[in-house]
Amino acid sequence: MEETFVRLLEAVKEDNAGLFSQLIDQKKALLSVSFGRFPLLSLCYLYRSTKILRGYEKILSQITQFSPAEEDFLSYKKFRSYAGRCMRLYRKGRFIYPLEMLAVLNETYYLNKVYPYFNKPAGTAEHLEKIYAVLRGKHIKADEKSILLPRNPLRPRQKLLVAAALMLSAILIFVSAYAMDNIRFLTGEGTEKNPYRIAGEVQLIRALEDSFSYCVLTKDITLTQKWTAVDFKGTLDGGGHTIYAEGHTSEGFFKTMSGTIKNTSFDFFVSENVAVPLLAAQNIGTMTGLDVNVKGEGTTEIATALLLIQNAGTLSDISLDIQCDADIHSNSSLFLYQNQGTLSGVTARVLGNFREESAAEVLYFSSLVYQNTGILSDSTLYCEATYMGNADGDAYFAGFAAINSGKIERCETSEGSFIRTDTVDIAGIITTNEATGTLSACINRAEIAQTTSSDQWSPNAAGIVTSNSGAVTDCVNAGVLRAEQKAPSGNKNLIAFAAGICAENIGILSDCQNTGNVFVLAEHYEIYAGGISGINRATLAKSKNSADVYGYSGDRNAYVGGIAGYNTSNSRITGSGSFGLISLEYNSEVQNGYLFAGGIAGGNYGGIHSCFACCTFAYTLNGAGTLRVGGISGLNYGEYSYFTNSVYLDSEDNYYLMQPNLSFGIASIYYQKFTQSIFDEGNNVGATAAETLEEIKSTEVYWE
Amino acid sequence: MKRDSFKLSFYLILSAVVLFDAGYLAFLGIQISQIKIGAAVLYPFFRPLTLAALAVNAALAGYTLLYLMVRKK
Repeated sequence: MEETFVRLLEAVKEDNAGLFSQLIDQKKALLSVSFGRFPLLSLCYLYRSTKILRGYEKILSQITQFSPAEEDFLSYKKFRSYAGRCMRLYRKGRFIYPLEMLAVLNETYYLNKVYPYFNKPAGTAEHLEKIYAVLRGKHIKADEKSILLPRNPLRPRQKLLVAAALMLSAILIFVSAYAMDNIRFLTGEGTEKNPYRIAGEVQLIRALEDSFSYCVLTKDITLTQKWTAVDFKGTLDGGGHTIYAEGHTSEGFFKTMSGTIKNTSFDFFVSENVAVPLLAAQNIGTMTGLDVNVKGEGTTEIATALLLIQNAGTLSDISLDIQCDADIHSNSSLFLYQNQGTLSGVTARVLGNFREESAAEVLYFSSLVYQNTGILSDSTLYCEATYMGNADGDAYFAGFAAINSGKIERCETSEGSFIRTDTVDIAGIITTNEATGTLSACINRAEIAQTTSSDQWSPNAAGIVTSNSGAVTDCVNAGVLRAEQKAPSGNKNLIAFAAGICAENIGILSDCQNTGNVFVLAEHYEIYAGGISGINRATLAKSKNSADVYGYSGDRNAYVGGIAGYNTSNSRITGSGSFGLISLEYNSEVQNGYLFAGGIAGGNYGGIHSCFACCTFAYTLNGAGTLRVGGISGLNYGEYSYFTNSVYLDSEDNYYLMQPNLSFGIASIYYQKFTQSIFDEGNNVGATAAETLEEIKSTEVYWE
Repeated sequence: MKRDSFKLSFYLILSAVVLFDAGYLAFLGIQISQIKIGAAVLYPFFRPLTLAALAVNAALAGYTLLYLMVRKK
């Protein structure tokens, strides 16, 4: 082979465009060289000489006449490896034209592209058909202008990639569409059917700040950062889960709650002064099914209420567990300061030691509500409380409410409860029932005891209400009551008094019962002890005492009665009955105290009508006192008539069970005759002695 | 002979989409787990991103089908 041909072949094999150009420039005729059956362009395709093709493909493709050169064996061998059985097409020395070379090399795409522009010697179309038939098993159609080629099958790697692409896109389309459509079920939409789901603090903040219409807790939540109180008007369903405030809600959890909170537990911790209630400033919505726990460390100061200032909405089914010690320096309560709405179904457990460090004014404090002008009903309180006052000003403590001018019904203190104070007056249910207030069907089972050594204090304990100006009906006291004054010196203006239902009644008291023993003890103070009322200044009707009433006076007057210790003028006790033991003890060798005990009233300045007393009496008189014990009253005030020269006693239709230590139904009479005060022996005016209980039971006044 | 640029672009697009999808799936997993444990709320770009994932993969599917139809013979 000529040297030039060898170099030309080498340039093609190595795709050496420079050498190729140099050779062609020297001799243009080289472009038409064919190495045996391989025209120059076919060799370029065979060796994929892309650089040479870029410059010379167009010229080479138009060459129809070839000048022969010796065939390169290696090229032949390479071609044969592609051509296989198609080699027979070229046995007779036919040129392997460029288009046929492309077909052999399976460059179908390129063949299709260049076919219209290339020179097509005779037989090219037939050869192409044969090549595709033999090598690819495909039938193609070719003519002068065009060629119809089948698509090459995908290679395995391509197949894999295409399948992967399709699968990936299908999966991701499904996943993203599913996520787009279903993320709302994961987060919720804030609607009633699909509430916003809260599983953490961040989501809780978002829900409350955005006031989602409907939210539900899916997990217990522990606050980890300072909580900013929010107004909330949506619906939060706790699903029984707990929000652990962990002391982060010093500014309250809600400001104004005008929506609905239900089935949620709150766990609060207090270690400092509570200036703002922990739960909410105001509720004008509905809170129901709440379980609120408050634990305190150290002594807390409560400004208004520990949990909620004002309720003008509905609070129901609330469980409270409050354990804290507090310094009480203003009117306040543990749960709610002011109830103007409905508060019902509260189950409270209060364990606390309270004290009054510095307050000098009148102070009211309550376990549940400071002031009720709405409805408080169907609630239960278990209370283990002690409250030490400072005796600088009056102080009051009550289980349910301090001041009531609304309606309180079916509220109970639980068995085992106790409230113990020193210079703080106490009642099991409320302190003051105002003229518009009603209190009905309440029960006190708590032990209530006030023991003081302050000589400036009148101890005062009541099972239901300390002072009643409204209506108290159908209430029951079953707790033991004790008021004890132990001051070493006396104050004649002060008294000690206690009663099963009401310490001092200025309103209506009816259909009440006492089964808890009443104890009033004072060394140097007057005492008033009554099964129902300590002092009755108005109406006391259809009530019954079946417990013991005990009075001890060191050296002062004492009034002990089965129904009332003292029944004042213009007041009336009607239709009431008393059982149990009426006891009186006096212990002074010096003072001449007056001691009065009666089955209905110790002292009666008003009226006693249609009552019955089935009491037993016990008394111990050590010293110089004057003791009068009557089946109905120990002392009865009478009106002297100048015209008839007789004393009128407002006592009618009363019955008492005769006892060996009784002389009269009315043990003594006190009246004014002109300017003279007369203390006279008793009689049975309006009081009938019965020998047996059956006799009393047979009367019209008796009832079970 | 020129290289098959259509095939090349298909490969490049497929690689880009695979990377994007991997990132999206990671984001989706993190977002869902954070919502489930309550550590985060739904990110504001969740929906745009998910919509983008949907569109990108739909485009990939379309491009793959196009590739199959008009690829080199």
